[in-house]
Amino acid sequence: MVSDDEDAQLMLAYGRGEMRAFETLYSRHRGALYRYLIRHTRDGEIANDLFQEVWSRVVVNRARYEPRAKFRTFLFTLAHNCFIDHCRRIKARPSSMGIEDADAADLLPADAELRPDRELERSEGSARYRAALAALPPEQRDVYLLHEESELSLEEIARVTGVGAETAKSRLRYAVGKLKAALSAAQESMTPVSPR
Amino acid sequence: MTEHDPEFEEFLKRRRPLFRREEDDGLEPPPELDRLVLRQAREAIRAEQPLPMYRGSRWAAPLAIAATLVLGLAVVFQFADEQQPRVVPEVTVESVAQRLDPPPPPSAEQPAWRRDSEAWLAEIERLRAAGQTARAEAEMAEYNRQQRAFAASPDR
Repeated sequence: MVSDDEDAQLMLAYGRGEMRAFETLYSRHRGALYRYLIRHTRDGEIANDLFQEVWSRVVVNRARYEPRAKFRTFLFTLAHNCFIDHCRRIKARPSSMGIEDADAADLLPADAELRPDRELERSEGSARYRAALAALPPEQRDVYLLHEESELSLEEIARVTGVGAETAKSRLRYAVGKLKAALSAAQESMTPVSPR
Repeated sequence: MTEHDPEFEEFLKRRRPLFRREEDDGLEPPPELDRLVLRQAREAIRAEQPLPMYRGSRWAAPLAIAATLVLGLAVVFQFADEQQPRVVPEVTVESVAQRLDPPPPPSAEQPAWRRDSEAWLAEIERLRAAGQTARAEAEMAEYNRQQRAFAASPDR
């Protein structure tokens, strides 16, 4: 993990007009941000749009940026907000749903419509993983993906999502439990990472 | 789900994915999206940079100063010259007459016998008699030209 202080300095440097600083910043975070968005949306075009929108907000806010938090927190807060805005645009607001008992199938597109990961559906395990992830309530999926991709702490994830740390932890625990249960039958096709 | 879950706690501490798939590692934004974002970021800072100032050659400034000085001095001298009292010549009848009758154009020094027709013709005969036929013919041609010019003059 790169130094977040260094990220903040790069962002400040870009605010002063140093393009090379932005290039470094972008190269560090582009992959994680893209995976967060495409896992959330499960649509390549939407993910591309949101990805561009997030970085556009970074660019627009370059002069007002203050390193009061990690740059990753700043970046994924933008990403989270962009995704929420997207959900509102399609009239599927995650916040309107219950946290634990939301029916994700009402919000998410059917598997047949899931375009971006078609190339990844080469194994049954991948398909199960994707299906299990898609079946998570958006709030739980959001926390899980933030944990997976942003490498933020629970407190930082809580700040990004606008909830308390305990709520964030609860969501993450539920997400992990549901994923484990859904994937238990397909463990052999996954790359399990057993805790040390 | 509030009971202690060692596996989950380890998952939190180690910050390692439980369900990492190998395909995820290659999941990155397409190159055209990279180019789009970087171009947008580049254009944003380019737009706020001040326009480059014109930088002339190193002799342009001294040359401009010298030209300004020359022009300024010319104006000053011209103004000073106009302030000096002009000497107005006295207007007399003679001076007006002189202006109305410009002096005749300076003519080449002519021999005295050309000022009288008969003397001119006498000279021509003398030249012929002396065998200076060419010069006699030249004088005859000049005599005829002047006579034609005199006859065609408007004063006639």
